[in-house]
Amino acid sequence: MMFAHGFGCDQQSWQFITHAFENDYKLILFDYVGAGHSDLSAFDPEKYSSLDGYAEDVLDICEELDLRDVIFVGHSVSSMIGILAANKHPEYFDKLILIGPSPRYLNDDGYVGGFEKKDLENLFEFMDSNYLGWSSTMAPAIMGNPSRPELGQFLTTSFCTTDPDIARSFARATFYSDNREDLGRVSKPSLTLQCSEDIIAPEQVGEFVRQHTPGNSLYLMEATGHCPHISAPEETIKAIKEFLK
Amino acid sequence: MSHLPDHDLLASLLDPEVIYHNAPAGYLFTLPNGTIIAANKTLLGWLGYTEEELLHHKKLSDLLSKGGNIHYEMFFRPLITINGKIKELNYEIIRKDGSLFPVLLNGNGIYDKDEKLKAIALTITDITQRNLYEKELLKAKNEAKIEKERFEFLADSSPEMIWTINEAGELTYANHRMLQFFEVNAKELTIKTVFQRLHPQSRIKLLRYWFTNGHKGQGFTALIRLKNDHLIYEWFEVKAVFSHKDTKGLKWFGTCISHDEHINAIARKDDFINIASHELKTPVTVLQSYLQLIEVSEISDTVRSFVLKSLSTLKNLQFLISSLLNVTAINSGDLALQLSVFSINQLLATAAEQLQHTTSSHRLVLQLEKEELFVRADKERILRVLINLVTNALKYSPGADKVIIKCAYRAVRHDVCISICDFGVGIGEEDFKKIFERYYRVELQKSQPGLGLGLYITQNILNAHGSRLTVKSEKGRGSTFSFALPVTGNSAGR
Repeated sequence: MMFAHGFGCDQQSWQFITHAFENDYKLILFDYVGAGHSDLSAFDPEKYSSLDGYAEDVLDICEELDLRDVIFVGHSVSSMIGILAANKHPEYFDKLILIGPSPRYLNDDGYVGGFEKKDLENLFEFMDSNYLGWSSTMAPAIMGNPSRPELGQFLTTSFCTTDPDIARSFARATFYSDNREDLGRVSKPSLTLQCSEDIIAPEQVGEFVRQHTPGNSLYLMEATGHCPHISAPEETIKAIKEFLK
Repeated sequence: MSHLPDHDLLASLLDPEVIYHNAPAGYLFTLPNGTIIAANKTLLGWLGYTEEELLHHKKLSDLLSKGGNIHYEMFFRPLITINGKIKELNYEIIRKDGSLFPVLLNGNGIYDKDEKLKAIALTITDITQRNLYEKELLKAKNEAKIEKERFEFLADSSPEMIWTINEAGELTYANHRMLQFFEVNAKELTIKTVFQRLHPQSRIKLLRYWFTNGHKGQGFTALIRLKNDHLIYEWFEVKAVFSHKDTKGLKWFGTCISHDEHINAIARKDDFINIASHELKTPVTVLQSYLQLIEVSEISDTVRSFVLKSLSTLKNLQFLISSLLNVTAINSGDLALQLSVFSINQLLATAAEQLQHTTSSHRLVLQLEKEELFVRADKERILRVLINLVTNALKYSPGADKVIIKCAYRAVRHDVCISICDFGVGIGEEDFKKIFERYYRVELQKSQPGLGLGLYITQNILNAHGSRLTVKSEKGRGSTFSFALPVTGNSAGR
């Protein structure tokens, strides 16, 4: 099982659900370039200007580790990265689990993605203003949390040691992507985990994914928000296990 | 008057209810899903909502703009769930009337005994003023980035090498051309890489400039040789500017321009002159012999006058050829002097007489010491020096009517100082250094014939004698060229 984190997170965001699978599966967790403890110098603005660059990295991992029958679990933007990777080299993959997927965030003619361009510009502004505290001298600060020590490794303003420029580039690659065409080419069985009240990937978008992706089943969760694997790990585990049965 | 705290006042201030509602910050409690369950009066005042409108009816996300909401879902909620707290998140809050104000959010998760998140406590600080300041900072940061990009674009478009060096002597910037020349990427290029490609002599030269000028805080220009990618040395001109400003990390800013073309062009001229002068010499000598034979033959007076004119012209030609041969000798470093002791008074008199024939506009005024002075020098070449200097003096004073040739004995140094003084156009400061370079000709004279070698030869002949040509000049007033030669013995008639 390969777990691919979403935008703004790193592999630690999987910590509440991985224990449920570690006995039955070989687990692979990683950080995308620019996130977590990745090598920031490997960032190439050209390559990572679209999601294809990230999908290539997923395939590189499959090749390097000589993986077969991968169950790919992708959160948010990683759902699309997984679809791109599996469409390109289906031989590596067995199943796809998409948590809060959205093939296109921007509204379009007859399509509700949930966002207008100005909303996204507004988000980038927020990201910039919330990175004001980020400075070149700030080491990857490790935050202690006495009451919950197992969570100690997260920063308070962001998960990652991400460089603001890289984060901005990832945000643009994510939010300006349009992968609606790619859904139809999926040849592996897949599961969509759809949260209620998810403003980033609203229910219509989950429904769109189900309709346009061959072999996709939709699971509507009670969990709210965009990160059910964090806010509702039990329900997430249950849904995944049912699908894998 | 008592200095003890007023217990009643303190008690009223520390009343939890008062602290909560009247604090200079907004307090807000939400459920894990964001539903607002409590807000203090300060916050209600800022928002313009009543408790009834807000509590249980609104979620925190309802108070945020759409962009803020994405951030809230992607950062705020995962963070508070995983970390149990958020710190200094910057959002814009929407008031009831639709207007916005920037805030900083700090929050803690509140957990039940099973460590399950049951509520979130938040403080909200209005940062309208600070936000303006931060926007300015952000703007300045972006402007700096644009400026940097613009500089790099300009620098990278330049065919010259451009670099900066910091106080520690590290290369801090190199433009595209420089990276290309050294065939490395920006991270690999160090001073060491550069020095490895420098000719050993250039290395010493640069280091000397480096330390002496760095010490004085002055820039410099130097000609250096660098090995190109074919491992052949090419000439370059390095120009370095020393930065006195307290700019962090920048001490030297400089360029490096290929000078190979220029240096090679001079070398090509030298080669040409070397070959041409030797090739010209023999036929001219043969020509002279035949003309001399014709002159002593029985010929009519008319023909003789033609032959004499031819011989005189030929003499000019020979002078020109021997100038070129001198240059060749100077360049190859073997200007061998034919030393003899002779009277400088006589040489000057001879030169003046000869040269007087070449001009009808100027009077050559000879000012000699009464005493006859003897020098040990190459007579032919000193004569050439005098001819060069007087010819120049005549050429550069078209409006004047005299040139003074002065010879003065200086007892202190026991030498004789010879100066040629004209009242002509003079030399501008910008030309002062360059007039001694070969092939250099002052702008004014470019329309007139000449090779630009006279002063170069003169200076080199004098240098070979251990002497030096000096010049004093004022534009529009005239110039004086002087040199000195040591006097042999201490009295006349030796």
